[in-house]
Amino acid sequence: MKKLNIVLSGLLVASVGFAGENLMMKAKNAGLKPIPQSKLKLLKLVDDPTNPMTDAKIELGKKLYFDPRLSKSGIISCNTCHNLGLGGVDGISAAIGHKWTANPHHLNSPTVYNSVLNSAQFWDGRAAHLEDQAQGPMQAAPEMASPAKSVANKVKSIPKYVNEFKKAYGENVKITFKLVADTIGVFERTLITPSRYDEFLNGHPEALTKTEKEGLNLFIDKGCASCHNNIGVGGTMQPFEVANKYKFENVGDFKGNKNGMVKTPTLRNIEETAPYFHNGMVWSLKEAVKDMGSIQLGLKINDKEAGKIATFLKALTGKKPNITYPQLPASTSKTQKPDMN
Amino acid sequence: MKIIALILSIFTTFIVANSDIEILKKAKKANLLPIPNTKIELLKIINNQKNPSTDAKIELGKKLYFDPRVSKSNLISCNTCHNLALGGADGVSVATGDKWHPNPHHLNSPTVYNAVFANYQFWDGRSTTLEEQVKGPIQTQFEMAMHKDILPSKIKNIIGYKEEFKRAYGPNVKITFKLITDTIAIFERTLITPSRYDDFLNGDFKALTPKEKDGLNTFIDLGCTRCHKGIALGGFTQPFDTGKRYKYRNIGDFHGNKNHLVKTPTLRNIKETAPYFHNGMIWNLKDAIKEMGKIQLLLGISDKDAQKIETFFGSLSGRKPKIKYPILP
Repeated sequence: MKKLNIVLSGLLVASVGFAGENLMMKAKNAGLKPIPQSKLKLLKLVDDPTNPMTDAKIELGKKLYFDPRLSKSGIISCNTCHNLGLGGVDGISAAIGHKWTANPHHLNSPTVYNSVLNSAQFWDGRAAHLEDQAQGPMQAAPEMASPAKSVANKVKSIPKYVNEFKKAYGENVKITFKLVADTIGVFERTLITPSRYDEFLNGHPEALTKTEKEGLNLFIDKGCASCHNNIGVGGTMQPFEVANKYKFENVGDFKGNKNGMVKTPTLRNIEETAPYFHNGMVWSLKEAVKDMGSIQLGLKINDKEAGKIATFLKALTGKKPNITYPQLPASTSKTQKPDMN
Repeated sequence: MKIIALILSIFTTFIVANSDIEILKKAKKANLLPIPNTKIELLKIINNQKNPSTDAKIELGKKLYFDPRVSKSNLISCNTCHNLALGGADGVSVATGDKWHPNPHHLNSPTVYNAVFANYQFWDGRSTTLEEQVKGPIQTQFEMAMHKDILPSKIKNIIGYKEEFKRAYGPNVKITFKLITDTIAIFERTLITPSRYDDFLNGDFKALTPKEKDGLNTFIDLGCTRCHKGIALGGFTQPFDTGKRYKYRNIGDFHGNKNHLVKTPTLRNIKETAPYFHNGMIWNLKDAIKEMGKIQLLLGISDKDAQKIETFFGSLSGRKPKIKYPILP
């Protein structure tokens, strides 16, 4: 009896293990890839060889990221809309910026976490990398509303910032708007969040629960992984409204880039980044899953299936990097005054 | 020769130490008090006996402090106007809140750092504790605009918060508006910033440079310490703008409480908290010093003296507590 038990339980473990491995293979075949475990591999992935990461640049980039003085009003920082405490977003439908202006296209702030893994930035993919992206919101009138020149001048008016730029880039550094944005980009490249999903793909079948595995299986079977794939679980440009109309398509005037392509959002930390879709009109994750099934795959995903997929998606909530809230260098009499108008 | 040098150096040390002792005596006589350098003495001051600090409460309070969902719009946190990265203030003249509304009285956000040492909170001193103060901005229309009955349900609906309240206050905790604000205040009570000035008052004579000591001396001699005293270097309510008029008195309609008393702002971290005065109209610290001399002391403070005092103020920039940016539930 005991023997039989052992044999049975051995068999059971083997079959579970096998199912885990099978699913792992299936996921890999569907183009799903983990965040590398090896630090070197990860660095190769996130580093920008034209402006390689150093501790000094990352620390300076962090300060700039959190500094509201980079905005015209002095009260909006990158972190206002891409809040590192809130999954890297603001948790509201349409981004709100300078003078409480809502994004004129009713666009929702995408998460900054893992955005380095995207192959394009912005909903219409108009920026190829984070450095280019960072230049946008700082200048955009409905966001931080700061002219490029005034950003550079503000930074240059603060001697401690100048010193930090020297420390990061050498004595002869020329502080330009581009360099400010590039440095913010360097910091943003560090914002990656490995999760239990990555552990699973890295060979630990026990990292996901049974229901999560079922959800992952469904996620692949339904075809979600045809767009939400690779390390970013999204991040590429894809056609939108392939099969059916999005029910809130008339909220805002965004219809993708000139070819109607829209950036597939990452699904990492999706549990923390409601509301969903480019115009932030859907608040429930399950509802978003169902809507995507209908719009993109022409499928009716039932409530039970959507529940399982949502359960799987929650396993994508990652470990956030430890961030010490910075002490920003004080303004001087030369620093341009905030302007609320 | 060597011996003479030795004697001379001992002599100089003695003279310096002697004048240091004089300044220290003078400072104590002027009721200037350091932040205590022993943890127990400090805790006695900053602890709220009715709701004693614990690590769990402090950590939860920090999360709430940084959480913009405490506001109606989900965009404004306590930290928006009292930014811990910017000396505990927002660096703008008039506080700007929900829907970009400026403070209707043209009031400037005071720093949260060391606010626990102030006897009164708000410019008109209408609260005596941080716990009372916190209730204000959360509900005010032009600040966070949150209804006090909605906040508890918003917080209760976030499972992670519910668990943290249980951890902090026990399994039967009732999450009320008051408990949320009390918990934020517990975190704020930890925001103290000892500086070289405190080191000096605590007996480390080398903590201040000769110029800073000179500035401290001038600061006392001119009478600034009549209001800027105690641990907070301020925090009491005082008559304002009664003799000579403040040159920007007509910007905004604030003229103190019903007895025209105004809370004296702390001078700690003053170099980081421009612009100055209740309506945030003066950006330059030296100008602020001279204007205060004129209005409050009926003195024309010379440029040189103002410079000395400003140099001393540099020693009031304190060591900020290390804060791990919270991941919110």
